Amino acid sequence: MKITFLVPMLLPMWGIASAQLPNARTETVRIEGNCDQCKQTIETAGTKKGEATLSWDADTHLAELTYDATTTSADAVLKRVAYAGYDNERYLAPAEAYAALDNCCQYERAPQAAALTADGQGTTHGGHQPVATSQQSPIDGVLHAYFKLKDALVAGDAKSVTAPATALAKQLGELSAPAAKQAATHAAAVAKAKTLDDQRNRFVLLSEHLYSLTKANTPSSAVYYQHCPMYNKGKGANWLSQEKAIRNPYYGEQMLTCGSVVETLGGNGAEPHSHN
Amino acid sequence: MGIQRIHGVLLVLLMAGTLAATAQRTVRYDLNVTDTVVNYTGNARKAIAINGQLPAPTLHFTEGDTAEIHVHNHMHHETSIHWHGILLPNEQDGVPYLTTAPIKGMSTHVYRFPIRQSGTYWYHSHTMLQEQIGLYGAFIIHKKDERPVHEEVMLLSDWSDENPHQIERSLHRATDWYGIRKGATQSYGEGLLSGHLGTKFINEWKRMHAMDVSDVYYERFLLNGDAEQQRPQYRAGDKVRVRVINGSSSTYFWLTYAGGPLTVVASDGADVEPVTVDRLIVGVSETYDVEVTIPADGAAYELVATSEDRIGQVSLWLGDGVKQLKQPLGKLDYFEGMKMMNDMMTVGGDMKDMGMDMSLQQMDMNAVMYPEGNGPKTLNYAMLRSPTPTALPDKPFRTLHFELTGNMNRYVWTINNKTVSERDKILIKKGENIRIILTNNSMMRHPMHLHGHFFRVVNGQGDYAPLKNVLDIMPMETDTLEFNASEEYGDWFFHCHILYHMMSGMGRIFTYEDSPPNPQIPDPEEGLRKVYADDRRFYLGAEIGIESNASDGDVVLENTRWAWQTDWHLGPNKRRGYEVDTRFGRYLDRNQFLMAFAGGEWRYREGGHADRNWFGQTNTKDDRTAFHIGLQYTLPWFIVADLRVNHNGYVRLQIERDDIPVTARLRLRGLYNSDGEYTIGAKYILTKYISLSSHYDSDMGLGGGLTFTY
Repeated sequence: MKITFLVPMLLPMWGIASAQLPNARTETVRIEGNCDQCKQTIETAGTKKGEATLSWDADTHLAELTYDATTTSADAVLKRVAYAGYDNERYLAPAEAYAALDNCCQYERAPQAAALTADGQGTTHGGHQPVATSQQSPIDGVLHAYFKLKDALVAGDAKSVTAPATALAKQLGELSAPAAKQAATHAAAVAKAKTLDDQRNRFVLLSEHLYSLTKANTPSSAVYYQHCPMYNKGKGANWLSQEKAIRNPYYGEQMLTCGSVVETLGGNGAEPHSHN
Repeated sequence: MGIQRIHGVLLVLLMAGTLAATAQRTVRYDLNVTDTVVNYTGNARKAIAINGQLPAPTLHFTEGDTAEIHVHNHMHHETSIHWHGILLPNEQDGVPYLTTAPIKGMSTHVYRFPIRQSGTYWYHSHTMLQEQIGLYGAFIIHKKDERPVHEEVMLLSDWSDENPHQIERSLHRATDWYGIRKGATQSYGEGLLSGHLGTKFINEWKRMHAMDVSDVYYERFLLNGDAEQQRPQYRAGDKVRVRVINGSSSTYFWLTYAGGPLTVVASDGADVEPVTVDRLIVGVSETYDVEVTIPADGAAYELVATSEDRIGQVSLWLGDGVKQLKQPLGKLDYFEGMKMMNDMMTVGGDMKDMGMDMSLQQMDMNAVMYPEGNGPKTLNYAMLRSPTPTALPDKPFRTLHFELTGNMNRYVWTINNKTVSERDKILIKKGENIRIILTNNSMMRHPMHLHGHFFRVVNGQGDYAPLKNVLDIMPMETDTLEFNASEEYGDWFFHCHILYHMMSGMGRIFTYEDSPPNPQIPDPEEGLRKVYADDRRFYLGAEIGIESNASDGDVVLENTRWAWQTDWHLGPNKRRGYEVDTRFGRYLDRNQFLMAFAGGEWRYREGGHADRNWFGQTNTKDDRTAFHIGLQYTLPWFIVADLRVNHNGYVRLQIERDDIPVTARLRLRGLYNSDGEYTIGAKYILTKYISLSSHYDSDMGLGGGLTFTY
């Protein structure tokens, strides 16, 4: 009688002895990853004081998972690991979490997850592109150069347009997106143009391509897509601006404030508002 | 040969099917409503089940069928079923006492109506708060010529372990317990640490409590009654049509998919031109049909519904194998939201849109609180387009302006500042066109639902404006709805579908002129009284301190306009004294900052001495029985000023501020009056009902103990 009473009391003590966890259970689980940095992220994500400890081996991609079966489960631990960016035998990491890993950590993904990136995850950005945050966006530098060019056009001095246009073409050339390549040729065309009229004319197409590029790569601070209904005999033309107030690059002094904001891209709190 | 023959047989069968359909197939369901006990959190709780399940079973029909639904109420209290979004004769609509007889305990009610539409709908109780505890189910109507497709029902709902009547009462008492549970108190301390102290101060200056996107803390969110479900039968390339129904009482859900974008193909049962987005929000009581694609074999892709306050989510796994997660939506940044609200709210309590013509969910101001920003492509109503023209018949239009109004602190929700019971029904003529211009001047979004009709949402799509029966309208938005009074007769409810807003009176009743008597409502006047009773109810609240120096306490009983308040300060003995004050008052202004009252007070204190007050009058504080009249006004920063004069002409001015949130759970209070009396106190909230408390009173001295909040 007394012995049977004692056994359940002793069991938890045995658990503590084996893994410093009550009701400890140990499993070997497979978790993808590359390097020592991965090891640290994986183990931090999986380990929770008093619940589970995780120890991962970069060579075998196997981890020893010890957990308290009364408070958690292997499923819960592996879900946390996947949210941290690492595919495992039960869960595949969200595309965004994988994309946020450092380059050295971007292991070869399972085909099920890779299928997502190939098809293009989501409607507005590929799986590898980081989601919009308040951090720097790759488009920021390009936009900075573009705004310099735009300001030169507003000022209306043909000579001072060439330098910023050349700089923008160079910056765009460094990006890999096809839209950036096209925009780069148009920026080069602006740089080559001799007269202010010609420069402004070529600025139309450059702006269109830069708009597509900005749409696909959310900038970190708000960018305003603006429209002048008069340019080119009433055909109208668009441009991007850093500020909401209109400063028209197609007419400069003549019609400085002609135009309206069509759409707001990026930044916080501003959903595109369409005017239809 | 063989195949040919089978085709021939099929053809005959199909023709027979069509004939049967035109001959009106009657589809019968028996729904047995019972009290039940559920356990979602480790605690057994009362709920209501139909045919033993929660949610209620999914009912399937085909357009052209006649529905015959026998509802057997096996409970001892009454119930009702409303068929949400269904076009039907008024007496089948299921609003008890208004359109349909209530289904009394231990009785059976038979609904019978022809099915003249198709799409994704649902049904739920329209009796008190029964919807919150399980009385809802999916109602699916297939098209006559529908080819079989992969389809799933995703019925979303919210679950609280708390009795819904307690939830409702607590909301009327402006409880901050739900904020504490959500980690959304937004106290001064949290403001200080995150650099938003000024934001918090301005927020309270403008008389706004902590901001949130939803009012209730829910322990669980449910998908067809579970936290998650899996459908392993799908393979790479399969397109699955998911019929998403938001059957929750007060929770909006974000929908996102791990396997790619979502293609929206129908809303509120009506088809729309397919539109592809990264995410959409499903308002309370809205339905959306979305198509998703399974990208590859060997994995189950997560279709996630996340509560708008982002404290919970439910998952439908599509496919078989290792589970592909979707990135969860990050926690809301409440102080950013508060900053935005500060910009939008005037000190006078009006919302201003700062010159932005906001409509149709196109500018989600809440996005300032989203860590993911505006990156993902989000559905809005301007993107919905009907595949067929929806222009109304060429009839005269009648235009109604509805301003959605509310008082968050007292949880009073109204249209044009009036509840359902405070306004007559709105008469409409059969055949006329009604245009509703809806403006949301409240701080919450509202899913406005019209019974028995579709309205077109005027959204720039011209004749192809989408048809819906629920419209989510965000704060400061103005939207235009149009519908034709195409039914024959009867009373049709138009109301906010957040259960607790509806019960507080946010709605109107449209009634067709010259409607015949409704055999289900033998006494329409008495019926209407029952309907109106919902928003006329009084809610009890109390805060009772039991401390070593004294008992300070108050009890209030309030409804939309009236308030009865009693408070007391009782010392441990005659020398410390006793005071009791009671008053009955009415809120006068739109924002309910001002209350006029009449009441009486009694106080006794041994061995005290008379004082002069600020106005040079002699204080009779030691032994006084007096009647008084006065005004209470809530000043900026929630300072309540109380100016009164008693029957002897004695004047008292008192200012008081309760519940200053210092940290998530620590509250301060203070009081000062023209008799020179003052109190300062603090409490630390332990549970919803119990706090540790201490206060110093100019009459009673310092003490500590417990405070009970009800």
